[in-house]
Amino acid sequence: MATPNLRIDVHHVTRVEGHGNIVVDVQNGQLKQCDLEIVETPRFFEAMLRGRPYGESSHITSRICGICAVGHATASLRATENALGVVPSEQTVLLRKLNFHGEMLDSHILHAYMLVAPDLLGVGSVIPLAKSAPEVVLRALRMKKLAGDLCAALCGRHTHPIAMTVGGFTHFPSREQLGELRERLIAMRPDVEATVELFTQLKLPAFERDTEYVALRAKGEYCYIDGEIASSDGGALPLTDYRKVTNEHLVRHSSAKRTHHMRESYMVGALARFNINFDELHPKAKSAAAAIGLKPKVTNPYLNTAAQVVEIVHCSEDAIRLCDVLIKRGLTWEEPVKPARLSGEGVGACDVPRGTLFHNYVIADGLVTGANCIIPTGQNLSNIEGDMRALVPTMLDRKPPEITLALEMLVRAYDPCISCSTHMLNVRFE
Amino acid sequence: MSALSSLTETRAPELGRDAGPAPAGTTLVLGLGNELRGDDGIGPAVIRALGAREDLPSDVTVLDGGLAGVETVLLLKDAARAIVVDAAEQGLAPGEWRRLPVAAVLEQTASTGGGSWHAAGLAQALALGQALDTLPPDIVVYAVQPLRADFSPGLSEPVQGAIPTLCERILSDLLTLTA
Repeated sequence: MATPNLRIDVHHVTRVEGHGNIVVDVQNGQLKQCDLEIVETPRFFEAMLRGRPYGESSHITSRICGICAVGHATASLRATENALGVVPSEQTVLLRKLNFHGEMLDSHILHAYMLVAPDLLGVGSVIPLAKSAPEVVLRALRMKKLAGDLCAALCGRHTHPIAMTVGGFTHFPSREQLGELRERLIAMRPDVEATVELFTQLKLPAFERDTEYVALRAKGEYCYIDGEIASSDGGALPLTDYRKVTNEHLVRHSSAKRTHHMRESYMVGALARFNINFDELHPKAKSAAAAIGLKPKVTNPYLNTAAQVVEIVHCSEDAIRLCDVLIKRGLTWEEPVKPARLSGEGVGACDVPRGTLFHNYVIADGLVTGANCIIPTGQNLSNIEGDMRALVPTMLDRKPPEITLALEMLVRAYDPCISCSTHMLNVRFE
Repeated sequence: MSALSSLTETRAPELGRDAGPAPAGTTLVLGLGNELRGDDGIGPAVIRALGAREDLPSDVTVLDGGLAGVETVLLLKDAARAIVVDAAEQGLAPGEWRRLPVAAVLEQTASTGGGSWHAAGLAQALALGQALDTLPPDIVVYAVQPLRADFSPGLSEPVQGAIPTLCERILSDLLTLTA
């Protein structure tokens, strides 16, 4: 029998980054409220940039996130470079792509193993998982360490990269380091295969809701940096038209802005990229997708984690390829490309682990006078609420703890970084 | 800084480039902390001081673990014995330190609920190492009370002043452990 009245109040959802609440209110079988409240304090990074020399922007904005620090730094550098007419060298582009793979691997491994796997294995956190399946957790730690070491070799350190700068790098890995990373990435293949195997066995919840998927797209590659903004509903826009996609607006219950494009909401992240850029995945990643049972277009948001696993395969294989290319062409010490001008406006975009990230700067006489950063989690919030509104009515015959867990797992599937969007999760049944 | 009441260690595998786990079966002294955050740099500072000592037993590996976070599990995994040095808010006078059996740190972690895996520090790494059953059988933590852990490099006078006695005590541990 359906529950006529239901009140869920998860005050701070766990295993996500930041603070948010889930509030659900069902009266007489009717859904009255279904909100994802974002309760973190705004962080004012855009205001901090004003008046700062352009060269500091990537170092300041990488502090937005300790997980996507390379992503923020890269988007920031691309915005500055586009504003000041800087075209980075081929070597810089290759190094940035390789660096990006390191961060993507680190973030996806943390999410899939530490944050999502405990739900699927019926335990409350990674600690009981470490007791029941230590080899799974040790595998995750090994893979994470390699991802972090890759970033450290390329940009000095992973969190808050120091060697990435406008127009290039200030430090270069040695040929030996690249060769060692390549060997370690190859040696990691059995761990990557075991990760895919694990996710072929784990059962993610069944729930379908079609939505609009948005991701960066570029010809000939599975795009993470630059490209154009593509929608699964058709069409693509240049990066400079990002506001036509994001259409930011405020809602009463959230300190993070919301976005919408062609529908009420859209989804960004690994699943959106998978749906839009499937053809460009590495063949081994396509095989992994087939093994897990993913075929575009996937409309179950819980499968975002499975799409992350497919990307773990893609990024590790593409990182090996990039090491090969860099070793073959030979690394040369390059001075960063100097700006062609000191005033201008530019947009930089990257598809970071959680989705499409935009930085937009106005620079006058070398100083930042205006900045706008649109973070992936902020773009996903309305879509998560859309999923919650569709999911809750189908679960009213279940017990509240079961509904709460399903909602928490849904939010976690998006791998939200609420601090970045300004902002976590607390389910309150009202 | 992380070990006791504070669980604020920044998550990051910011190890020295060649930093890796100690060779299997050896004794490891691991200093943790961020040198850009005032007294949080006590771990790396003790490692440097110990590394310069001629009386350091030859079978001991000293390692600046930086902000190893949860990856500290891997650094500790193959050591037979380990000593960890970290800053920790304990309500003591600045520069005062305590030598804690790992069980005390684990107990404190369990009582405070653990914290976020997005920002895992020593306390969580030890709890995970215990669950994995990969902690060295012999492990102690030297927890040093900071005066300040703000956004500026350099140790405060009382914490800097604690280094000689701290090193003496650790060396005495090492001689006992390696005897």
